[in-house]
Amino acid sequence: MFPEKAVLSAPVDPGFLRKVREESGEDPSRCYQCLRCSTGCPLSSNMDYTPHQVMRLIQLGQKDEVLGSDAIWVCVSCYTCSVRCPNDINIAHLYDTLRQMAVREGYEIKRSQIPIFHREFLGQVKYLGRLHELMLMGFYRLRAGGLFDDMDLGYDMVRKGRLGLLPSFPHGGKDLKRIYDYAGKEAKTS
Amino acid sequence: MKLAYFPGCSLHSSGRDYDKSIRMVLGKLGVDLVEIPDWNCCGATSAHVTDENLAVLLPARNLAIAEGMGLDILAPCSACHQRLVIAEEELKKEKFQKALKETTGKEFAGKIRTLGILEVLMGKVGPEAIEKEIKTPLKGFKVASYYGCLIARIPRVKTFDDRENPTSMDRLVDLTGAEAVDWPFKADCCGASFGITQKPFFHKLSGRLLDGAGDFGAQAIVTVCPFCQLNLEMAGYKEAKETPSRTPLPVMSITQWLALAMGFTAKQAGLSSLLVEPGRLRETVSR
Repeated sequence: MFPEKAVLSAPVDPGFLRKVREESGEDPSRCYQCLRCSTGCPLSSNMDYTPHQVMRLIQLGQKDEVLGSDAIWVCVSCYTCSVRCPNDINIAHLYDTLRQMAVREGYEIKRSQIPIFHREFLGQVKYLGRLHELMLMGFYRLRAGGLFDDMDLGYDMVRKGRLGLLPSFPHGGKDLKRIYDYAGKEAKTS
Repeated sequence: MKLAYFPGCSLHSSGRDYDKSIRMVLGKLGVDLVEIPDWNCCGATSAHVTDENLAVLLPARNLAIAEGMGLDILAPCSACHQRLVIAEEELKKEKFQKALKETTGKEFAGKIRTLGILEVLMGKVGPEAIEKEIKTPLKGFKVASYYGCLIARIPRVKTFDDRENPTSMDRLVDLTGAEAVDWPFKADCCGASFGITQKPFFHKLSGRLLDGAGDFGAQAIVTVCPFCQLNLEMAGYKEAKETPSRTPLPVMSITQWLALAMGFTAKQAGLSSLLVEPGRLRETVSR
């Protein structure tokens, strides 16, 4: 039911459970391994640890196994686990915290395209206030590779008026800069 | 009825036919939409994956502006809707109230709420009023209503539809004269932003939905989320390119479908901008 390999070999961080709990506001110690999360997860067969195993690993203080796992990046945030958990653990939200911890603490991320995408997305919103899909795709592909992928699809979308060529004027004024500054400041002190 | 309208970034671009059809359909049903002035992106998945404060404060700014207008919000995109509803909840905490005031000078007291398109249509306007506007019933069509993840899966919040088996869109399809097929994948995930970043997972998830809808007898799929709509279309588009003998199901927004039944033409409903040809459907409705 839970991953024996990890439990036997990896170092234990006794403060990990508390830190995860504090930062996420979720309580993984309430998990009693009913497996509703893992059976409902659409991608659990593609994960190195399924959601109920991640809950157990957190309970056991297996920080490196959790933050270094592929599973936290395979999660697509569909919230099926969150609404089915009988112990009211918002697991999808808990995974947000785990991803943030993994990035902050420099754990290796095999699916590096995912954080690149989110960075480009939020960078654009910071300066424009809204997202411009075509520009996001351009910048994302420049950074992540595959700039010329799906050209036929892109061409058809532009031809059919489904992708605007030019972004609109910036929105949100100074508010957005202040929101980003605030978030940046808070992230540093956490 | 008057609502503050939060189209979100998609509805100004890849989802512009969804936007157009919402305005057409709600116009006929007597709902006035006032676009929230100077609205900003809700931050979507990128914000909640990356930073708790951005995830709350980006949508919070829009909530505060709408509250100033004294109107409930219509947010048709399921991702925007979910982020706005979660921000409403989070803004009950003093920490975020203070942060909103500090960064934008605005306040949110929780006097308004955010509605999805299905709640507006089936909850506020109501089936009787919609039925009266059905001018060209789409009889003989079998349609899979696809809800996706986010419209009813918002933890700890009472949602308009059932989380496990939502039905409001099926009832809407039935009102148009078509038959809503009973299929088991109606609230499964389409792959979301993995359509861009993790293609193999995306094709696994979206492919299962396309095949499943066809297998249960649907001739078209209708959606509420612009991102689900585009993802399923992209999956079908690719399938048709790779295997020309296959004809993937057309996928459109529920309001495009509703517009057809209300007597708008296929062109007005934006069928010509679909990436997957709607085939027989277009011939039938182009009267």
